[in-house]
Amino acid sequence: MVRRSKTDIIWDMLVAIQLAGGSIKPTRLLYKSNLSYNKMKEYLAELDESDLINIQIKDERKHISITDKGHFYVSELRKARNFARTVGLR
Amino acid sequence: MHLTTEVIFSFNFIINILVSFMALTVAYYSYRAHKIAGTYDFGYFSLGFLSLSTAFIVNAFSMIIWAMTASHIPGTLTGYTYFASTLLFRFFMMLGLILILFATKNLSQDLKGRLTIYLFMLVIVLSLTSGFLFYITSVILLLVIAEHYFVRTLKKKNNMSLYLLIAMILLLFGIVRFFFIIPYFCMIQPMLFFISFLIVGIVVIKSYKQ
Repeated sequence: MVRRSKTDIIWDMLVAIQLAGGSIKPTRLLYKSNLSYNKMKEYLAELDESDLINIQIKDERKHISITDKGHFYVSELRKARNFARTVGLR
Repeated sequence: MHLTTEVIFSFNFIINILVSFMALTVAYYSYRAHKIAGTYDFGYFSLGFLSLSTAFIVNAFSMIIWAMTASHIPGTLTGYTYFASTLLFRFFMMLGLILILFATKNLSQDLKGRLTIYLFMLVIVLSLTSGFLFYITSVILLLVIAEHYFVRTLKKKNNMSLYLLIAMILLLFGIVRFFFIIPYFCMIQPMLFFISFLIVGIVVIKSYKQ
């Protein structure tokens, strides 16, 4: 099995949030992004810091939502991945 | 129409500028992908096309010198200019092709890959001094790149890979310059470059806009 790059993991996480309608619970994201709890915490902190996601607490429960910047990042990354596939880059 | 050397050089100048612009477009899109994905392969691919673009700019301006010389305009340092432009063209062309090869092939991963890189570097340096070696090396590099797209076309059944394969084959025919030294055929070489880069440009823009 090919090891996922950091960009692949971020892609998986952001797309999982998008597919869930823009907001997701941490446990669902953990399952969808196929990461360990600690790793996911690290990535969430990084994504939050770069304003790609927004972590909110509603009714004592954490909700992770994708920001506009996150949506833009996903669309640009989708283009880059399409490009890589077409020209045969890894 | 009677083809004078001035007409041929002017035509080559325009085509080289267009080819350079198209290579620059591909470099720009690869750079955009590199910026967003942060992968080195995009960076290599972008630098490769930037280098090819520079090679064609150098080639275009050497055409002006040739045209001026053909028109007997005094003060043109043809000998030195020809030597310098040939050296620069070969250097940037080789660098471009090798960077594209690094990006498309998984060469830099293991020791075998590193040895191949050293070997290629050695050949690049040698091919700067010998025209024949330059053409042979370019042909080999382009054959390896074309093989990559050939395998992808077979595996992925992808039309885009097929177009890129055709583009690389056209570039390969264009590079084999010694076939095209007869005046009328002098115009075929830049046309092959033009069609090749046009295909690559369209494929890249199309894939990016999808």
